[in-house]
Amino acid sequence: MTQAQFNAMLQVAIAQEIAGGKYFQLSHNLDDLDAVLGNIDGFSDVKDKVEATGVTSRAITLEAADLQAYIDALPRLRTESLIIRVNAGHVPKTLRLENFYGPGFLWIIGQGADSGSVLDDGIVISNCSIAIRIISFDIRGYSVGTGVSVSNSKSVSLENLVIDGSNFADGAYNGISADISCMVAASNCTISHFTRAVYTGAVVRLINCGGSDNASGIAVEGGGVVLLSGSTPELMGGAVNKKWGGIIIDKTGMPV
Amino acid sequence: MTLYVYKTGTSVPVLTMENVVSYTDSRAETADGGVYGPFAEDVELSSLPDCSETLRADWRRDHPSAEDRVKALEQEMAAIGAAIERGMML
Repeated sequence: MTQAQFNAMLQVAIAQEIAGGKYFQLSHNLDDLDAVLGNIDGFSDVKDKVEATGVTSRAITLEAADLQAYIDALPRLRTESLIIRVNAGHVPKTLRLENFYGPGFLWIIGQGADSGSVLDDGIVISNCSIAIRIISFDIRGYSVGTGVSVSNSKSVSLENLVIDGSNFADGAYNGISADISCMVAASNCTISHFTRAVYTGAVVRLINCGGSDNASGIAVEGGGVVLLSGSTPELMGGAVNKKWGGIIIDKTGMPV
Repeated sequence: MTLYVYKTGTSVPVLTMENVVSYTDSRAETADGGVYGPFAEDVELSSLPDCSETLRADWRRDHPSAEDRVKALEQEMAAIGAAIERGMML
């Protein structure tokens, strides 16, 4: 029997065992099993990814209108770091980033609010454990009341965003909302014309952010923490801050 | 009580605070333990929806700070001193 014939037999055997949920019984020798798996299409890729000592990265450029479809088609397990550059234009529906996990990161970079990179209906980021950066967009909304909504996501960075509630067709409630075990850092973002510029029951850092014409500035609830840094004003352009359990800390480390 | 937050010089509330149980010029507390504060410098409080009251200014007037009281005392002492000097010169 040639090596190829032997391998083919093993592949059939292991495929049968996997189908029966008993693949672990095929070999008591992990080295043998490893060698066999490596000969089956797809398993070697998995093995390589599991044993990788680094994270590869890749960059692509997309049209704004194609962004959501591209994201929807991405595997949720991110084993590579992906940088998506988005040409100027409108993303017509709520941009949704949901259930991404793994060692890779995901950056989405627009051309800037002044250059016509517009998210027409806000952003929802939920249940993501990978690092996510959203950079250089004009955030608007027609069906959602929140510019950027983050929940149960461990590392979200928002940079150079213009979040203007006057562009929201059906009421502008929260500029940024972060809840349920989140870590959000916003830098160089402006938030205006909202009922609440920032709301959180989690942790939000505001670095060199600005706000104007908001009813309330920062609202914390349920142990939420907001840390202000750089030129970020204490009230984020609101008439008052609101605290229902939680703290707001200014750049000198004092509670606001 | 309900308090309305409005920008000074306007008569339209930007924010309504309901179930307020106490307030000062810098914060208001609600029955459920919530705290509003600090207030922006350019806003006032009113218990009337037409924003006709100036509750923050009233509170400051009724509760002068220690600094304000020291200033008032200094002014009073200066006035007394000047009066004594004038009396001595007469």
